[in-house]
Amino acid sequence: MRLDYPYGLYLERDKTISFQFDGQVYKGFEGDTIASALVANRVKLISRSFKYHRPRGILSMAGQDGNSLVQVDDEPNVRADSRAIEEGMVVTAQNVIGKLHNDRGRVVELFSRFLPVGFYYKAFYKPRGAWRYWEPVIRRMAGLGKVDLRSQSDYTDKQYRFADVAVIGGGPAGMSAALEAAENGAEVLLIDENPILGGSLNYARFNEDRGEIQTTAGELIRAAKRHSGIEVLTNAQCTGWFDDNWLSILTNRRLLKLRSQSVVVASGSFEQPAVFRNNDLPGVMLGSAAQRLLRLYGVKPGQRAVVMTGNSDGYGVALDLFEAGVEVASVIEMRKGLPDCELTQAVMRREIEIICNSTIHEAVSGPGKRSIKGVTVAAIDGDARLARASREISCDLLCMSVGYSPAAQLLCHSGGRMIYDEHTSMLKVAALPRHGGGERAVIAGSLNAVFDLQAVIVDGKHAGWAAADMAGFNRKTEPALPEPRAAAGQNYSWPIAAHPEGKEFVDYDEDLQIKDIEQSVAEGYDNLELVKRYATVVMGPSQGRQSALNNLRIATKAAGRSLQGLSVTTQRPPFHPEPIQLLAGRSFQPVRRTAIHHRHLELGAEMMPAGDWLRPAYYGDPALRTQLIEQEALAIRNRVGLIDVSTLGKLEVCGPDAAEFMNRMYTFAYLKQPVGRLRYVLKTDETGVITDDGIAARFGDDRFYVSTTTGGSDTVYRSMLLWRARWCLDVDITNVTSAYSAISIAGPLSRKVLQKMPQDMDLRAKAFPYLEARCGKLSDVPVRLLRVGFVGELGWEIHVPSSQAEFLWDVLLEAGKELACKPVGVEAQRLLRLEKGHIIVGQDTDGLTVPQEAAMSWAIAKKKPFHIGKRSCEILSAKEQTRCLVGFSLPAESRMPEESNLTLSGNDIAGRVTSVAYSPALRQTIGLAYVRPEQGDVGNHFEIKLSDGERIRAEIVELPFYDRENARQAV
Amino acid sequence: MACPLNGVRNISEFVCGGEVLDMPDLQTCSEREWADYLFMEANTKGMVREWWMHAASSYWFIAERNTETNEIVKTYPVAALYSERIDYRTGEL
Amino acid sequence: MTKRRTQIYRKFLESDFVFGNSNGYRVPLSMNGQRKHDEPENGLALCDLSAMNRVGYKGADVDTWCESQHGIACPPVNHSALTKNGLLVVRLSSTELLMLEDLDATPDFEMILEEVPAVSLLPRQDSHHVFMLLGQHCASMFSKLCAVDLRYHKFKEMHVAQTIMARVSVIVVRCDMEQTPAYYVLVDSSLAEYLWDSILDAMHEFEGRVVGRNDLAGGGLTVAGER
Repeated sequence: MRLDYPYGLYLERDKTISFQFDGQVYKGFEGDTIASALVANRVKLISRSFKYHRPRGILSMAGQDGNSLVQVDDEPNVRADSRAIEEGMVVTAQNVIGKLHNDRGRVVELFSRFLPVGFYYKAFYKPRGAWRYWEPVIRRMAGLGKVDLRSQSDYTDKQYRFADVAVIGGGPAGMSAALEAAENGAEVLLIDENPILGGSLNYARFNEDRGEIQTTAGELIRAAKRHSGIEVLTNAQCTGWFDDNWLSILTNRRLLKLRSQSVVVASGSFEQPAVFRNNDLPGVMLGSAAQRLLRLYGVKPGQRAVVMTGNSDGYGVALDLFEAGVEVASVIEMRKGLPDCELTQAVMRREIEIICNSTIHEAVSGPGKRSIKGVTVAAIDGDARLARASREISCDLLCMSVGYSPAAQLLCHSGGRMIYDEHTSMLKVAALPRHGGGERAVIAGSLNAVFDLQAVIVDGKHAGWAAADMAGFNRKTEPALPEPRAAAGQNYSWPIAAHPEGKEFVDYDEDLQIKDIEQSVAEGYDNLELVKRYATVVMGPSQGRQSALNNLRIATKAAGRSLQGLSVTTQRPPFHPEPIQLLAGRSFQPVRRTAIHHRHLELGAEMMPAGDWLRPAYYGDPALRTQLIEQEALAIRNRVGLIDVSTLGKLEVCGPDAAEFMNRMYTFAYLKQPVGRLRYVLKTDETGVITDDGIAARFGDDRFYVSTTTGGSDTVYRSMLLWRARWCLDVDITNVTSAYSAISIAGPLSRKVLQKMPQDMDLRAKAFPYLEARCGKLSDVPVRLLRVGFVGELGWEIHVPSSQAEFLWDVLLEAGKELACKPVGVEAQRLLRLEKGHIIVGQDTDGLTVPQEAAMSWAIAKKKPFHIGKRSCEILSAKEQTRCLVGFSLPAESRMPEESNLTLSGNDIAGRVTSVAYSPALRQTIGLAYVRPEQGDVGNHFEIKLSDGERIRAEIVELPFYDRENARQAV
Repeated sequence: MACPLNGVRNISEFVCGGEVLDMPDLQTCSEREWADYLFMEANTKGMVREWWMHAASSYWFIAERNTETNEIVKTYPVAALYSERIDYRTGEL
Repeated sequence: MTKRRTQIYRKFLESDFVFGNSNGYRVPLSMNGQRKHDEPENGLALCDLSAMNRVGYKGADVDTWCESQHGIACPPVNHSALTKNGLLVVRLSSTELLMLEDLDATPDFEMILEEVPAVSLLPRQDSHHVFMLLGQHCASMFSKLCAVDLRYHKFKEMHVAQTIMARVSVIVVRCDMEQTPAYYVLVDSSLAEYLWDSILDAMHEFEGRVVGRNDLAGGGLTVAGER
């Protein structure tokens, strides 16, 4: 079956490769695809169809159809006509029960009469529950490849690319466009899905003398490869076109994201099949598929061929087959008379029979429908009707050359449009994508309905110039456009021959016949988008490449409408299947680490995520979790502990309007806050909902140092910047979250630890009272000391330049060693603050919590003229309150509720538990919960509904739970 | 999107801050007017003015965007809309 | 151990580096001499320069301040300029500057710090880490992490980009070393370890390697340069 050079452009014949298909070992050459190697081994049957398990073979030989899907090792749905073979590759057939050759699933076809379009919807939804039974049966019988859940993902990643002009398609139009754009000074990226440039020049027959084409192709390819302004990307598929010329391109192991100023689309056309009985059997293929097999892979597609044609390209196919030594039995010409063209003359000179005004009525199947043994031919009777089949011609190959459909899918992703033109019987591009308020795309070649080779090259050149001009490069004057020439004659208007026994496939992927489309319209789905969804036409793996045009014709005729100006269904990305591993690629998941992170690891900390950060949950063996947390909490209550609180947001607010700005951003009053003092900050949005809280230290008349919650630093910072811009206040806001690390030292012995270190501050209670701040030095490290009481003990937050935080942590631990100072994690910290009744914004508040519900009304300065939530707070405080946050405790024998368990009022939902924990200091379970205001008095009881439905009784107690007089933090 | 400070960047570098709206006078507006300002979206089909921020430089600016075509027509610094200091009075004073 | 530490100093401890003290930090100065000469010419190197001095200035008067303090015209936004005594001045916005000590120079940084008024000072030393990437494969490597076109003919010397790299905010400054393309990358300190690892991963296919500060200066560098 193999032909010698120059046939087989892709092949490296000195390298033989063995692979397996359906259990058999075959040999091919390097450069072969699975399909070409199989044909070379006389294997025509490649797959079984989706629904009826019909035998299928090569259709397009271009990786553009669903007939060639196979499983390669653990990778499903590989297109056999575009995947190159590799040594040892194991290829298996898909959707097959048993062997491909003798698929037991093919019995389904016997029942095809009972499987009309939409039968899933009709048959399996009644009685209720039937689908649950039928679904696995159907999934086994109809389907594609198998996913191996054990398969390992390869390393894949993504890369951004940049170009002034992107050219999609490396055929004559694309290469010519790329050259002209580059000549104008633009940086060009030329993208083609094939292994080498050339496109149709590599396989198609434009005229009798092929030498001329080879010269043209050679010159263009050489020039495009050599031009310093052109980067060539082969084996790359452009799969999507998004806003602002953002193109996604698949390569072997990498997803490219290309941004270009302008795009030339020269993606060519898809040859279209004719619709007749058995048009899907192995041996029936597009004319261009036969040419590809010959020229690219050096494989004879058959022994004896019939060519069915409605344009001049069919004669090129006949000529190519003849020259390659395939017997050409006949050319079936659908048009009335012989066209007067060079290729027709050439075919006639070779005394090949041409039968005019006729069509194929049926492909006659060979044994088991695994091949064809001939065709029947019928005369066309006027109005696209057929006379009776008059003749049978024996053959094992039937080539179809009846027309094209533009490969305009990418254009349509981004605002382009295709409409049907009755004059040429073609879909044509009617609108192009526009971006940034202007034209940013241009088309060329057969996509632009230009088919004559010389005209295509001229058209490409003009497109290249126009695209460069759009991108701002126009060194040269505008080249000429090709002479306008009607594209009439490329597409035969009605390549559709209904057969009384059916099996004329419109959509190969979904096994849809003419009657299925007509039936859908008859059932009322008479709009193309509805036909698509009801019949699932154009929804298969080929996404309508070979079915959209004929479907449009058949559905529109069935609906009794005119085709002129009609559009096909909406196109969406991706244009080619995208392996999920390429989309997943190398993903970036930023993790923020504090300066002390590695010390925590060395101390055996169990780390937990907190916003973007990692924080130590507790230190030690997870098996001892509860114990460890209690020990850490007791360390702070009884002695001293260190907590890394670097994740708190930290903002500097500086400038003459700093106090005024603080006064507007936060609910409390800051104008008169003395320098050196701390004040609680509570932030609401304009609707009065609590969004953040923290502490503000005033370090000067014009300087505040403000902390935010761990998750809030970015949002508070951004919100401050926005409001500053709006108010035009003279204030600078700086996010210093990462510049300062913070270590909280707390516990009755914390002052002793600090006093053991060299330092220049007077830490005694009188000199440095509760809620004050000082700047100074600790162990010769510059620090900001904030005396706060979040955990309710004597303690300080030590804010330190991050580069010195690890050093200071070490010094603190060392100084605290003999006082049994412990590192303490987030879990213990949360427990300690709960004992003090302090809320955590986002845990004890939700997206609707206003200050009065969380018992935070004390933090609102009512007399000041403005804060962001002022008006809303005023309106809400005049209205009846619907819930309130209370502290509760549980009896010792009670079960433990979980956070978010419901609280009840009678049988109605009152609220939910927001925090709950066992307090080792109080020896009881305590928590915070929302209840109805009328339930909220101290001493009342309410019910909590546990996750399993059991109800427990909780008692409302006064806050804080621990150290009610707040004496411990003030010592 | 074209940031007035940093030039053309991927949209993923930006954060949208919502439509530019004038806050009604806190002292004089009715509760209904205030609620309208907070909650009622005009849902304009056509041009809207929005707050946008370039995240990497924390730079706020104004963008005019067509909600029908999602085309960003122009972007400019905040000062074009807000260039004078805004102060709030106390009702009681 | 020194008082000041970078977030990634640990990464050097187990590899073959000669260390030294600089500016209160312990820094990897160079790869062990033996190895350096054995290695073939290489097109990509990564160096941690976080120990070097830097500070930010914020204020409405940046133009006049820059001119009076450093004797150079303030560069336009998203551009940078070198002062005579080797300070790289990076303009981030109409009111904000970032000043980096350049590799070859020894500006008196204490003096520079004293001249920045407290309200205008931004603590960039601690807020950001500074990496340098250099070599002919820089731009290709960056394109795996960053959507801004940082190729040599598009992103010229002394240009500045404030953008996203591997999903985190960075400031990129192109500041070539002799004929070798070189870029400073500044990143939030808490994300420094994450970005370092991301860059190492992206560098892998170009056989990029980590070098010490002394490998960059004084001709010891074997990174091939081509603009």
